[in-house]
Amino acid sequence: MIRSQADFAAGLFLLGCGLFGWWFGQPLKVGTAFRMGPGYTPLMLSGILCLFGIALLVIGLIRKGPSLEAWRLKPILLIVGSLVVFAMTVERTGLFISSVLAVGMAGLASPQQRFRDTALLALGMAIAACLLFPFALQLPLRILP
Amino acid sequence: MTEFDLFSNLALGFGVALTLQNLMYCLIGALLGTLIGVLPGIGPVTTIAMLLPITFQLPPISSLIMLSGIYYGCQYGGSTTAILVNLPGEASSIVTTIDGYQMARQGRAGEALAIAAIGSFVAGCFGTLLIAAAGPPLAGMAQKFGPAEYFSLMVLGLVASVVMAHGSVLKSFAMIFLGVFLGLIGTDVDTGAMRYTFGVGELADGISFVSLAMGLFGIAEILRNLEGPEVDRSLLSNKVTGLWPTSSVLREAWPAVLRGTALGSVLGLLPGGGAVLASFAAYTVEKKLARDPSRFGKGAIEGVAGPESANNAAAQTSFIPMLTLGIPSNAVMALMVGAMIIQGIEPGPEVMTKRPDLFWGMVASMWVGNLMLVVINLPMIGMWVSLLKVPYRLMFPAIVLFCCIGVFTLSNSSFEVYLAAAFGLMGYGLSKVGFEPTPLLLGFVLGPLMEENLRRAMRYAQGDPMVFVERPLSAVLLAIGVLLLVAVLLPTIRAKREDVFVE
Repeated sequence: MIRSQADFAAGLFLLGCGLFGWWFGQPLKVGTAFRMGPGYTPLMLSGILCLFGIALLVIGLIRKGPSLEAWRLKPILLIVGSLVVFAMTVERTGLFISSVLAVGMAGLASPQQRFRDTALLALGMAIAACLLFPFALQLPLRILP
Repeated sequence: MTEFDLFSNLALGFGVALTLQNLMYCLIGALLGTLIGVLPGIGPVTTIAMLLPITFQLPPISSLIMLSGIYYGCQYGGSTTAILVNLPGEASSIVTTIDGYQMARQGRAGEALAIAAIGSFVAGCFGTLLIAAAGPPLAGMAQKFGPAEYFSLMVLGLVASVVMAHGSVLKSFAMIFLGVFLGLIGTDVDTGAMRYTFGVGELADGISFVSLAMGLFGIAEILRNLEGPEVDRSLLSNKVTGLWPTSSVLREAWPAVLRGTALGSVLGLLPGGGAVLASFAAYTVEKKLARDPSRFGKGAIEGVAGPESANNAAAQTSFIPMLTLGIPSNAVMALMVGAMIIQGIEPGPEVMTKRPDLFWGMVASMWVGNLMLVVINLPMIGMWVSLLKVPYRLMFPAIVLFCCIGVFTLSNSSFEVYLAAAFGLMGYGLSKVGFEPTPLLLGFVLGPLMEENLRRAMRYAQGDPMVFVERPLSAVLLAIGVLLLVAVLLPTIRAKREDVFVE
């Protein structure tokens, strides 16, 4: 019986990180303490992460603690999606279009958002970004496709 | 070091800080700092991470002057929101809301704002002097450090940062180890081997800390903010009067300003301490020392003067470990270390001897910047107040866009933006299960340095780990770390520690 979902989940996460590091660190040479190979510290750290993970799993099982808070999916999808859309489009369509898309998408994440405001904000921010970064700051960004 | 040296060094510093270009960057930093300080929902870590790519083209000193201005500037701005809207603009002004807002409700907002700004200025000047005075001897001591001492110093820094910060000790340590692990991804400097790059070319140089910081702090914070309902930001009144405090108010606030400055200066030096802890501690001290503690929470001027002085003093002195030892004591300082590395400056005690213009220029610019901030904050208060009317629903999409552009322009690579998105998701998830992002960032920045020093120390010692306890200085540093750790695990102190952060 899990008594603290948050601690248990934290333990699972750390154990996952540790196992990931251990598994994908296998090709790296460990070496000796005198002459450490590239794998010495990462594998040691992976082991430590596993230990911390196990400790938190045990704590999650025996000590009463907070349960796992629900994740709000809509903002996550829209905000993370906005970054992904920006990354996918900026090199192909230029800064202006990808800014409109990124701001428009992120703007929908707020429950109080009104569609018209978001559209205006997206347009305004895109113009501001195009004036600020490629022009005023001379950063190498393409504005249009 | 003689007195004459200090003066000639300060003269050198002012020579650097007072050039037209550097004055301008100092002003931009102070303005930006005040802006993000006033606005709740965006803090110095996100802002500095967003601006880093832009600063690459600047000379190192100008970029460092601007970035540090952002950090101490936001300590000033944070109090404005706390006093006028009862919302902390920054975490370090949470306690200022208690008495500051009450003062505003009694029509004494001008008084509270003035005392906060004057207290911050006094504290900032003192903190800057302390950097100038303590810097050279500390750096001189650190120059005698070998790899074993350096490794132990970093261990101590990380332990202290966990002990002084809030949150579970176990989870914070786990975050440090995870941070160190993430810091090792990329090409191994020593052997040239690729570690965990999975053939991705962009990872050969390691995970860029801008993407990491932007995701963990900037994006994750937006995700958390969007969970709650939008907070009401209605102002008491648009007109703030009485910005010139009467002498009786000054007399009342004066001792609290000095106490806050002293306390903040000490707490800022400690890793993990910094501005937030300093402001909480100063409020507690003022309440304990007051002849009539019941006034607190009802508009006591000391409740504004103490914490606001303390957070600014701490913001200033937290530069000392970073500038003299190369050890960042909080997330902002970790970004400053990163900024220096990108500029080709290895942070550490050598900065002072190899680049005295950099160290003294920064010190001088801090004093100039603090002076600018008083002007920016007091006569121009109306402008900042009107900015508060921008609702968060219009602010966060703009932050997302600036994060995207900032990360992308880092190396004109979409990969960095994907990384930031992934770390944003990770940061949100971590906060859901009670992990703090700051220890992860500190571990990430110190990780490669720790590995390098560990390797070198072990090589000199023929692979004998006893070297860390046989060399006296290293042993002392580690012993302090162990003591801190034991102390925090003792039940009585543990309860006290939780009290401080709960209040």
